[in-house]
Amino acid sequence: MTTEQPASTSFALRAPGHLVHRRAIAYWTVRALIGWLALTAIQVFFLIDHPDTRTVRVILLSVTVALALAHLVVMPRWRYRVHRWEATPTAVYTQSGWFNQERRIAPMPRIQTVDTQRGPLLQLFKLSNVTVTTASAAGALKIQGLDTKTADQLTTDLTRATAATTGDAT
Amino acid sequence: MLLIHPVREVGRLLPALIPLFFINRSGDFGAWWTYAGTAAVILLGLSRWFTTRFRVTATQVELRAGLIFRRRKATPLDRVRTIDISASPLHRVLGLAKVTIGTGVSSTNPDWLVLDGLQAQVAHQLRADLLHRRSVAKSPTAASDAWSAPIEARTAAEEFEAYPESAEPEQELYALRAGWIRYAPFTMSGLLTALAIVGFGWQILENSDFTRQRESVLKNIYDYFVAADFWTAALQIAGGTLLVIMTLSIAGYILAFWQFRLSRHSGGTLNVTRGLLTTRATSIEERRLRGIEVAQPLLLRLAGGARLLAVSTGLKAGSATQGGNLLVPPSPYAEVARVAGSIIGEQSAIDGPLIRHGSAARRRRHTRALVPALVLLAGVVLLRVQFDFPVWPIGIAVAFLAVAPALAEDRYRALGHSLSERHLVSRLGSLSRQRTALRREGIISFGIRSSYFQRRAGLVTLIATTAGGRQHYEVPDVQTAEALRVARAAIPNLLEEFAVGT
Repeated sequence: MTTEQPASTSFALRAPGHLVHRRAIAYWTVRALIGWLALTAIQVFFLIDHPDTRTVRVILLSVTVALALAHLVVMPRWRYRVHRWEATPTAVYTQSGWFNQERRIAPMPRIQTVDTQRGPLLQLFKLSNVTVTTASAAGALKIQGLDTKTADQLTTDLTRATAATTGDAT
Repeated sequence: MLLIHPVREVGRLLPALIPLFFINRSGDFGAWWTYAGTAAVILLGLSRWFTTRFRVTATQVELRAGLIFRRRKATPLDRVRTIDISASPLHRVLGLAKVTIGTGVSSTNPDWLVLDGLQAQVAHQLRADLLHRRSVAKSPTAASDAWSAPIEARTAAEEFEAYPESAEPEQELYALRAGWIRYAPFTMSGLLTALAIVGFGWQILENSDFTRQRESVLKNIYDYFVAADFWTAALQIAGGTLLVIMTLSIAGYILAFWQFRLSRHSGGTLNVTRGLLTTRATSIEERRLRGIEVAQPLLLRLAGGARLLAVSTGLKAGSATQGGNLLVPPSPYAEVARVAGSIIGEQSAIDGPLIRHGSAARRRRHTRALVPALVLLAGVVLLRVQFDFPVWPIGIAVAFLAVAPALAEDRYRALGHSLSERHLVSRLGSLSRQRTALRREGIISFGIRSSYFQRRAGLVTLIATTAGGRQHYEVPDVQTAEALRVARAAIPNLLEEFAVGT
């Protein structure tokens, strides 16, 4: 028992209004670089340690380096074009990802807490991550790479807005 | 009661104590450690019992425990979502029960309050009190602020005013019938247990002295299998394992679902009672229910059966026999559909037609099944050619490839969604088919996820998040416009301000 899809209206969702900070590109690059460096270091170690399978290992190493370079050049810039956020009095709307992208919308009455994270790497670039949580463990909205002032302003605004709404937000 | 805690402590530590007994042989010193260890464990259990106290005030349930490490847990009464009473055989012999109070924001990180070793009558009255929240004035002792005496000393009469036997009618929704045990072998619940036993048993056979030195049945069996022809032995082992799995599944079904009964109390709760050796009584407040899920693992679906799970906050969303969210055990599909409809009050969400996802989704299902199978086959062939791997992995890879189109088609046929008056319905899956009906008011936020390939095909995956169950429920591979239509209809006035052109 199935039906065909009904004729849809021409409603389309636009992207959220604000970009994250430009320094986020450098932050994402450095974050990925750490992982790639670790992988390359392991491969170099095995290369030195096992001279008999040299050719195969050299090929693997060059493939890894090529992939790493491609990833580090493409991913942060793609991410910067995709990551967006917007907070209105009625909802919070975010868009994130690069290869796989996701948009999340949560209504303001359902928002429970607003958290700001500043790990060591983020502090180096003077950026913050803002996490907006809801009653659902899978429903958190994350905004990566905001500069500190914008993040604090957003946190204040959202905290004020959620305090104004009543109910237990489940 | 005194006995419960120390005995349960020993039981919990049994896996650690067994090796202790084995290394006993190395000398008397080992024996001393074992006895000291057991004594310490018993003392620990005693100290915990001595110091555990609880009380129910007008606004909270509080638990205090521990001598050296003091623990104090408190829960506001209106955060109580579910009450679970269980009684293992040991409990029942002693006339006791264990009460688990479920609260908390999400069921993946639940907040439990466990009261172990209550007298059974006290436990049931505590449950009635917390769930139905009779006015505090009726039971002054329940509202006292004094801490209780150690659990054993209290009797039912002291602690709670005896409520008149509940005159509210209970509407029975489901009762397990003996004939439905025929669905037990199709649940594969015995598989993991059987694998664990086989693995463990093989370890013992290989490592213990029995097989090497002494003449015994085990040694003869071991020799037989080592010496026999590969295919005969394999077939015999496979047949034996299947038999064992089926027996274990049936036994597990009986143990877990004996006298399974689901009923609706007019106080607004769904009550589930079940169990043969360990009895459990779970109560789920209906207003905490966010939806239901009709689950059909592949074998069960082929046999025409299904299970019903609750999507509720404050419940352990675990495996069906452990978690408290099972509403109907493996039973005929029609029966499960009937119960599901009467719980959510909307039969069309269970039986109604679903909107198909179109040919783009079907193409995606097929590519996602074929490409990994082809890659696996290519890899295995390469390994054979280059490194001289054996032939049988190629056979397995070919089998995967042969099965892939049928699997993909089945997964496509399962895809569907609809929006009824009060629910968002989504169906997906082949190996484990699930039809989820989610209360529209229970949907907290929407997500629209698309991979690179989905974007090229014009498809997205719509994700509805809720506070209960798995926390997020997906409608995979829908066309973008349809996903937006469903999201706008399910939560009005949410997406409108983000439309193109605003």
